[in-house]
Amino acid sequence: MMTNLPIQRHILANGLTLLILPEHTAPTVCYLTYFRVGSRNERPGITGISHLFEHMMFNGSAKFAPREFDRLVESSGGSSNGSTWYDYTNYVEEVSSENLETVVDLESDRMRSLLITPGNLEQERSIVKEERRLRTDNSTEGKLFEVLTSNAFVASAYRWPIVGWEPDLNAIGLQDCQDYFRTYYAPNNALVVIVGDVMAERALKLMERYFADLPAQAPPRAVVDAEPEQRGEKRVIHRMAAELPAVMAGYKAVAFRHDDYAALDVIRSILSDGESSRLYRTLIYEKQIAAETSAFFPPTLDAGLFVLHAQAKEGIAIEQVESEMHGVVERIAAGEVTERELRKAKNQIRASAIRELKDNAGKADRIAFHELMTGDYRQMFHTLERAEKVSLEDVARVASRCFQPDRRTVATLVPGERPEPEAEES
Amino acid sequence: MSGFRLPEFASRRLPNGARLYAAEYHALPLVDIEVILPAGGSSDPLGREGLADMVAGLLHKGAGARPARELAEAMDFVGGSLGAAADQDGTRVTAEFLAQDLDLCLELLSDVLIRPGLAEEEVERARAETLAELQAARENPGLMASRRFVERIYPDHPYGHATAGREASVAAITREDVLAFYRSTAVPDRSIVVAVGDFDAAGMLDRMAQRLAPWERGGGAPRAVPPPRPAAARRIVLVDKPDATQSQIRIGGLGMKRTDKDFVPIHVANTILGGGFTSRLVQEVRVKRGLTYGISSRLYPLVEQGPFLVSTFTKNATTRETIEVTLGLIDAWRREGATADELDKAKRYIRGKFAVGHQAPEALADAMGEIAFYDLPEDYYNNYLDWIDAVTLDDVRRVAALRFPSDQAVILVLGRASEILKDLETLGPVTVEAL
Repeated sequence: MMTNLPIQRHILANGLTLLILPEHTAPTVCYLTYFRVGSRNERPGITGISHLFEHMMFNGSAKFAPREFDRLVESSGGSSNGSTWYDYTNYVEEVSSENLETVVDLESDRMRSLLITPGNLEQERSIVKEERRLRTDNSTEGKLFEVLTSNAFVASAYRWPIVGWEPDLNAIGLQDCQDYFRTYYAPNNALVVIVGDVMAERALKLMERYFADLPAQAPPRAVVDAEPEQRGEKRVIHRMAAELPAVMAGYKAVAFRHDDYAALDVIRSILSDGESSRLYRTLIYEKQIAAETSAFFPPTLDAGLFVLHAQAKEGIAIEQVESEMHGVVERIAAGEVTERELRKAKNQIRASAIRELKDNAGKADRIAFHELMTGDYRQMFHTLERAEKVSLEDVARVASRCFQPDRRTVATLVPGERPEPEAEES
Repeated sequence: MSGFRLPEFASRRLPNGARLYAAEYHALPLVDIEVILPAGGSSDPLGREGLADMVAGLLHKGAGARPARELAEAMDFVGGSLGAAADQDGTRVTAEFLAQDLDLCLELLSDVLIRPGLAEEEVERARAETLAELQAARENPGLMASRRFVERIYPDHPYGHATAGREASVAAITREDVLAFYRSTAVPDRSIVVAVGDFDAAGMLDRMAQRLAPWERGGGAPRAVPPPRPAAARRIVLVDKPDATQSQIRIGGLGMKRTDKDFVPIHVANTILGGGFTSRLVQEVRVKRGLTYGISSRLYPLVEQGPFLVSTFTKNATTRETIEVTLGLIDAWRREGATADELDKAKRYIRGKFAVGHQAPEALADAMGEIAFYDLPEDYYNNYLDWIDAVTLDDVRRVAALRFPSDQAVILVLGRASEILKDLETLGPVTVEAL
């Protein structure tokens, strides 16, 4: 599928990786930057700095006053956004194609000379804390996920939340930000993907003109995944105001590059893609004991968690929901998956891979993601081949290895108890 | 400079009244179909609020020869998707399949429209699921604030309830209600079917026509929606959520009709006020003051006047300040209008967003569906960007003064009364409600 995309790959002298895909269907261009840094590169005491930093990237650089970034992007018929993940931080701009140079200018200037001032830091700290209240503290699912991951992992850098712990957000200082910027926002730690209505040679020339003078920095310290093997189920209860009890189970799984990843992604699809999936069919349709259920298994650089989630229906004991949920994965490990179910999962994975290529931003993201996770964007085509090769034996073998009670953490949300009032800053 | 054109749509009207449209898209091996049925939440009978959306959800729970489980299996097996939901004015049934599965897609879609099972067992299940969702929604402060706000700006009006309904009205829905609603509203008479995908357009029209020929006319007319009445004065409502550490804030009132002659200038004006990230509200409330992570102003144009609302959230301690700053910005905006620089930037922003937002096949289908549903000129979107360009500062000043009501605004806050009520009362009388 689409293996003939005419993608060009260049490495500038300072180490910046550049990937260009001309695509002339709409008069727009998508400019996407991935920095190889996320919450995984943090340490206790400054958790959340990656995400906080993403916010600071919009507040001015040597050539552009604060707020100019968004003004120029929107005047170029465009929009910009950033997002932070465990393993990377990305920034995307989509503008009318004649304005590509404006974006290249803005992006190179902030990579070269971002303004890091006490005023910027204080303002974004306060906005990020508001975001944390929205997505975690006032969201039952967000909170339960934080409780799950922080209890499941012992040494992995995935144990703290991407948004950071609130006391750490309060403690991050200006020097932390300056060190972070120099180390991780260096050209040799970045990759840029340009997809859209541009000529490849022109895009390359622009990038060389604006980025060539940025100096490479010493490579960042490697992250060690020191997570010890888990040998026994962990259970944790979290009390908060909520309408319904819910449960999340996280099984220690594998990294994106691991041989078993493809089989686990097939299992994720069997569990939760569509209304014929096993979790929906069992918990919601047949037994009618859950209001919501899902499985997710995000791809990560280090070994991550395979997560099952269910929210009980009113009047149903959460213990019953949990036990049925475990039953669903146990039957997969016992080899109950059929040939047709396997085919269905592969078809679904293939269809969703095609859907991701509907627009420039989707294409750019798939290229950048695979380049960052594997060092080779062409893996975007092989991911489907990996899924295609998964056999019924692989499904049973990988499921019985992954879904062992001794390797899981179960977090249960118990509604009712009101939290103590939080200390509010004025 | 604008240059955007919708793809060429071939069209046909069937003897049963359904209007079909098809346009080719060959960038990916996909087919997207959008069907718009001419009745939505505003057609819910009194005391049965939520019925239109429940019927929408039931259409694919078994249809033709396939019970619900088999239908889901057939669709999931090829990685296709098919679903439906009601908005206030209509019900959208959407399908997306790989082009190689077009036959199956048309078979399932015609079954869902013409031969849905609507079995008693499925109605019971849907009722229970909707009740569970309504209960789960109470954990989502942003969603609850928006729902309460809509109830407040449309008292005693068919737009005055969420399409999901209320717990009591959903509990009262019977299979007879479902069948009656399906027979009167899921009819081809005024329905619109738009397909965009990797096919030959003329052949696609033939295939759709063949599949939809047995769809029988209903004959009745959809319930007419009366014009809503604007509020007489500003009102403050506080919905108490005792555990909240953050207040959800909604400010607004009646917005515009989709066919409003000022649709384009109002859209431009709203973009300047609270559309993009460089809009006044975002710059002043988030960027300059750090009071929130997000603020926006939006209009939801409908057959009649849809909602206009500013949405934001802030920590308990800054609730009143955030409301005051926001109201001040809206008032200044109504008095002064925009600057030439703001207008120019908004036009460029809208143009760019428009091109970026119309790459995917379903977005193209949706644009054509909107034209057909609201009886806009067929070349509407080919001229749209020229109209955006033609908006003047006087246009913006005129609509800003008239069409962004702040003195009759409903101000709804969902938050912790014990901490914020006293402070809110300094703004005016506050009605407190339970969540």
